[in-house]
Amino acid sequence: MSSMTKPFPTQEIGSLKKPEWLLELVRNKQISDEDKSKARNDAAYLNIKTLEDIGLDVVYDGEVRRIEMYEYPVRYIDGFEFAGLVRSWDNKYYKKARCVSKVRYKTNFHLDELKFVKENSNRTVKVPVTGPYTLADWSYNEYYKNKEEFVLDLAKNVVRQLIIDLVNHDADVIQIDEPAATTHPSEMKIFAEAINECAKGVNAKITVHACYSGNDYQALVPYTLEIKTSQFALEFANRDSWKLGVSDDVRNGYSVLKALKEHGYNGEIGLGVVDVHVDDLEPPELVRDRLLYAAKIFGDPTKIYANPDCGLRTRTRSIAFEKLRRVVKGAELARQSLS
Amino acid sequence: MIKTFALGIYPRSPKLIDATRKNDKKLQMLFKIEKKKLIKEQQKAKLSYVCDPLLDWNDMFRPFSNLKGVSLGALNRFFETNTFYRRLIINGELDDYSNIIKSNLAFSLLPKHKEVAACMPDPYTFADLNENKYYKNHTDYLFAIADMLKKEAQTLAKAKVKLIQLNAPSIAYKSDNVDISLIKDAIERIKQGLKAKVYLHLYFGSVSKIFSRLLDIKIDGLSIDVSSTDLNSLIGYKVDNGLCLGAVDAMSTRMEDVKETAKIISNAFDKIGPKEAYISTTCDLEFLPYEFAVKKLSRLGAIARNVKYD
Repeated sequence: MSSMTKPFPTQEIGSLKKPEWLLELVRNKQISDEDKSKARNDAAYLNIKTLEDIGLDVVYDGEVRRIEMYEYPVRYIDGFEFAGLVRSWDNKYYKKARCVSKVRYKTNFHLDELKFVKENSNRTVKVPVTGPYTLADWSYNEYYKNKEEFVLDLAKNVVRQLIIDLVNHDADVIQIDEPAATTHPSEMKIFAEAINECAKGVNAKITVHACYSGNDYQALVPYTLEIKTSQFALEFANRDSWKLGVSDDVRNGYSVLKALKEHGYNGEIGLGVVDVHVDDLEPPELVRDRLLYAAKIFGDPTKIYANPDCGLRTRTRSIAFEKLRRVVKGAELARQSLS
Repeated sequence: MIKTFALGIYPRSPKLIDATRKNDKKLQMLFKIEKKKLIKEQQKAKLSYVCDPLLDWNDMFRPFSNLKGVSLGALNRFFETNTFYRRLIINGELDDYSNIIKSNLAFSLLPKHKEVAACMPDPYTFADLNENKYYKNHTDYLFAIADMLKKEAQTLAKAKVKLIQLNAPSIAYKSDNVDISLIKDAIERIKQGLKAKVYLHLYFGSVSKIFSRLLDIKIDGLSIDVSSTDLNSLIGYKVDNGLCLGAVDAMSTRMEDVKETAKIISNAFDKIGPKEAYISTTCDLEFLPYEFAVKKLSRLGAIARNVKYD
């Protein structure tokens, strides 16, 4: 059900910027919780239908009910207390938590959104779930003896429980979001073990999204065969040139693909074909060439998914949707080139 | 009592973060008020040196983006943290403005009766984390940065800065693969003739394997993050100059036990026997939320008062 037979299937990665009207409404203390809930449903419906209209094969709701990918899950996991704000960059900060006791799964914090998306879309539904390694890496550890224990406890006792519960409610695909995956090259073994713990006994397609690795995924390559995932969805476009063509020198942002192939990885690749940190719009022909370059290396184009580098929440909604249109159009052009 | 300081970028308070998000009209005034508060916290903790908490610095390189021939590049992860910095692109000859750091420090807020310290990137880290599109080879690039930083350091020394810490995470992080003799030349260029103490601050990686060679660099001392470098690995070396131990972990919210930490540090200093002994934080406090950073400052002062070393 969840693997595609057409070349270059298209998907989003997760987050979209929330509409201003929704933010104003949920911040308004005069509005009832019931009305806020209705507004979130409206925004989710709008996102789902827009993504469908754009023509994506795999959709979700733009994570419209989540604050962001770290703070939201941490709120629902026993064992964490928020410590305060820490800088991501410049004036951007995130709320960082301390782990002060054993972590425990309390409730399926993505269930309402999954149910709503399933009710309102016939497309393949992919649920993004923040991974155990990232949850641990972005937190302070005051409880566990070491990071390995912390990460594996999160994997076994929180993220796997969540995933199983989502699959029991008909999730087609689970995307484990691990932006921290390759931050500490010496800890890749822990990361691999954690993903495998999450996937243990799960009867659904598991994909892994990582981004902005800082080391061009060189740390990930040796572990790609042992990590039990159907797909690695990775960011590439922000490092690539904007010139058209499928030669190695033009497609310099995608150089790790060769290393993956040489290592023997033959699973799916979620290919980041548009940069989520710039407003400039990639021409569909550029998206096409990025996909064709990947196909030149990997061979089977049904295993190459076209997606943005990461979630598009940092872009305005109009830019984000236009970037996704170009992903879809570029994939169409790539299919035409093959035929 | 040994001496202590906590240099680098401090975290912003929630109020200041909120104001920067809203681009508040009174933002500049608020920066001043918040800096004053943190300088008071340094004094309350009885640190030997005070410093500007650099609340208005977005990262350790950003002030240099104002230099001619330098432009701002993409965001890059700062080592293995979840904090990003903007890479500088060196498109032309680094000019000798010599006042970049001083003009970005709030000297007027610092108490007149206290000794002042300041920090800047070391030339190797500066070269490593930014992009050279102008200089023909790495040596030229590194020495151009060292010469530029030397002028900055001279300006600071003229402004009565008594101690300059060169932040050198790249040397520690890449310690298996660094050319120490080249680094030595670059760093000694900065120190030569300078009327301020120079400490090389090595963090985010173990320097156990290169410690003996780092001791050859003719500066006033080394500053070692003991969360990355095993303290025991430093014992047995003859340290003729100063040694600063980063004894308070600025990457962890766990609070150090004052007496236990002081005992460990005292033992280490006794065995190593440096001419001058300091303690500091392992790295900039900006990796902690504001309230935790303030508590760590207080712990740092308390540990320093409990360390016994003559």
